[in-house]
Amino acid sequence: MKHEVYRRLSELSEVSEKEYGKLIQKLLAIAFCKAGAIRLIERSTQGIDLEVTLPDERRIAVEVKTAQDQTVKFGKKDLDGLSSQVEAGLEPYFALLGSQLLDEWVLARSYANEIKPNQQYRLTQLRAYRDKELEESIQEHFDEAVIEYANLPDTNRQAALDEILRGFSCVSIA
Amino acid sequence: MKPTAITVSHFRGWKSEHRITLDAPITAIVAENARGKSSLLNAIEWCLYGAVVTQKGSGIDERQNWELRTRVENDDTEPTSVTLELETAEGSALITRERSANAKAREADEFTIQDSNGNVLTADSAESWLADSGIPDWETYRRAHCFHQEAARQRVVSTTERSAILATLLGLDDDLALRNTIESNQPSKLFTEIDKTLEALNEEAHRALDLPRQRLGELESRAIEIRLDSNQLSESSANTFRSQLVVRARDLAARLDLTTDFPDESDAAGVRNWASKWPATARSSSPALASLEDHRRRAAQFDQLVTDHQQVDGTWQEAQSKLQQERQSGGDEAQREAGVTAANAKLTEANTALEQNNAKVKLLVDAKAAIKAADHKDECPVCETDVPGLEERLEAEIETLRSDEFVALQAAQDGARKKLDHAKSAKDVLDALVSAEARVRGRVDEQREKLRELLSINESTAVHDVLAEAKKQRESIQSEITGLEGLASDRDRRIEDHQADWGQLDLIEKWLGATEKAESSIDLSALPEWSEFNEALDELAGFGSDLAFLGSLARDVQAERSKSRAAEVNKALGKYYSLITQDDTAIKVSVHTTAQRISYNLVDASDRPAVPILNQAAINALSLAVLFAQSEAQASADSWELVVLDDPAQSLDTEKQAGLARAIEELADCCSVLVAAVPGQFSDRIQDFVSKPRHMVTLGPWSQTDGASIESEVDR
Repeated sequence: MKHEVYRRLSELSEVSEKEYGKLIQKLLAIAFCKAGAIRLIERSTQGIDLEVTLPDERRIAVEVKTAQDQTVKFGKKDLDGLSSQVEAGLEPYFALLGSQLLDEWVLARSYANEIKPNQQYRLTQLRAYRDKELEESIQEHFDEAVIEYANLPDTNRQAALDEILRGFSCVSIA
Repeated sequence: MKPTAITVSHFRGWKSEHRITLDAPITAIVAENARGKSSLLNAIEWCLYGAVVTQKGSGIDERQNWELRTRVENDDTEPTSVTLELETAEGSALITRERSANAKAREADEFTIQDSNGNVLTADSAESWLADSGIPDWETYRRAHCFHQEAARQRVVSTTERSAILATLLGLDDDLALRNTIESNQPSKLFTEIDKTLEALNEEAHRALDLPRQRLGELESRAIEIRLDSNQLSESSANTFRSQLVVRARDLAARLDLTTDFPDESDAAGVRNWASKWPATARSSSPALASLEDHRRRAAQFDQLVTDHQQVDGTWQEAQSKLQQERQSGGDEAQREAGVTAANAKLTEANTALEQNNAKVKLLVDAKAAIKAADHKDECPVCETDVPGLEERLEAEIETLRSDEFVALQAAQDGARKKLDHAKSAKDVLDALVSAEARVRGRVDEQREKLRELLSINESTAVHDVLAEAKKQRESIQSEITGLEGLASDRDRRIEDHQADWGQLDLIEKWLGATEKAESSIDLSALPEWSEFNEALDELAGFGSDLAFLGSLARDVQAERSKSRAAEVNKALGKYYSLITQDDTAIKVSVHTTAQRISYNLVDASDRPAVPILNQAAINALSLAVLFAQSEAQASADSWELVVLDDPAQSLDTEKQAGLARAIEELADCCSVLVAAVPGQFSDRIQDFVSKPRHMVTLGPWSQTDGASIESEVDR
């Protein structure tokens, strides 16, 4: 990623600690909106993290994970949640972001039974499932979102990003 | 497929060639210890698998330092040779392995197969034949087809060995081989390598980022040193500096009457190129300052001439003064000339008087000499007048003339000479002063002439006018020089200002460049190489993920097959364990599956691990039961139909030995059994109480000269 983006994300990670994952999820949601999403549902508490109708009308369900140590683990609930979205006609995706300077978003397709619950996966391992086109469609927008919005007030950071998300007509915040 | 006969020659304790048939359901080799029965069983393994069975890596600890050929007396150079005769689905085949007596450690055995069509196969084609015809690999053979007393306990006590043997019992060799193949590719290692590469790249990227940032830090420190505010480190500030540099330089050029080109203020590169050269241009080629050096030179000439003139003039005045004083004190030149003339006359006079005196003395001396010669002392030699006492009178006169008179005349001469010297000296002094005055006066004239020339005035101008004019002109030149020096000083100050401004602009431009570099060096994603590298990583990750997925799939399949085979295997295991031990204790295979591995264990009816609660005899019995169940399963899969038992009754009590004989009888329904035993209850049971046809071979005592030998062979 660009150094400026890396710097801001590193700072955000330091100050936001446990909240970091949710903030990144919201910044990713903003990136999807900037990339022309037709519809986007962002969930902070329960259910699949993002449901996005892309500009080409594909519908995707996204489980967002940040990987400070370059590994991720999926709960059974996460995988079940994605499976249920498949039944509803959405393509299931994992959105994975590492903490290194050279990391970019890995948007990996989820295939039934290939990813097991509660098993540690390296980001490298999940590169095999990446959807590069989708990654490229949001990369610059995510950078912009970070540069524009990552400098958040000390309190109510999530609320501040929710407010920005509400500014996009496509967004529903659950 | 099963062996029907074995022929050994020079193998371990066996020397001369011996053939033993194996086609009976049960073949028993009966002999006391150290007569060659175990070697005979080992010969089958060596024939099929070669060196691996003689090494530590055979999986049988006792095989360390195992000798293929035992040295006996009269040992000859015949090769070690073992031939197995096989009955295959296609017909009879022969497998022969030979090794020359003097073969070196790394030298390969000679391995040949004669197939059912009579073709002799060697090397790769022989290996292919082995693989295609269903002969088990060494690991499977070791686990499923032979029982070595030394490995019996290990087979069930070692967790790893037991799990592997039970996997074979469950018929999962292929699954294990598949998993081994997949896992030997180590997808996790691949991911680790990729992660290491990425980590190294990240570090490199951080370093690449830190260098320009470090450079920026250095430039910012330098900015403070040259009094640049941090807010001046900007493009707009650079523009201001460029404009300022050019405007100021234009102004200076006008003052210096310089005709030169200036860059466009907005052309950063042009300004940069010009600015570094401007100080040299401004210093070297100013028409306005071109006359400064001439003026300085002319002023220096004036200063030199006036100084010289003043110096010479002073010397002249001093010479005049001295001359005047000398004239006043000692008379002028004429008076001194007259003094010399008078002194000369006095000296001449004194000289003459002295000469006259001398002539008079001479005359008198001559007269005296003549008187004396004439011997007329009183007669005048000239007039011959007789003068009494003439000689004495002459003598007295001579004396007077030579002494008093002479002294007086000489003193007069000395006085005259001194006076002449004094007069000459006074004259010389005056002459010297006159001469010096004249010489200095000449130099004064010379200097004056030079001044006239410098001032371009005619000869008639008076001396004081020349000097005045010189001073006037010198002042005028000084005025010019002062003006020009002011201009030069102003120029130098402005050049210094220019250099300071240029230094600041240079630093701002470097800072801007370093900032751009710091930003651009991180945007790796824009590089085509980065894209290609990522694609390569994705491919590797894809390969690794595929391997990991296949491994996981293989585990799932293995687990599934384990479950489906367990019931059948447990039935056979229970049957043989019960036959051997006469005990109804249920022992079964349990399958333990985790995300990473599958392992097998032997458990009792309550699913508790069975091995820790069994005694040595029960462990041996269990080990045999597992083997029998395996052999039965292998035989039913049309695989290898021979089980080899080396002293299986050891550590079994009488009851269990009887049970073992029954178990062997049961097993012989499925496959041939080759059993080695010491003479005793167990061998007797095989010989006398088994209903299956059996071939009983008794070995004679081992001989140092002949090696092992067959004492008797009986079919029953």
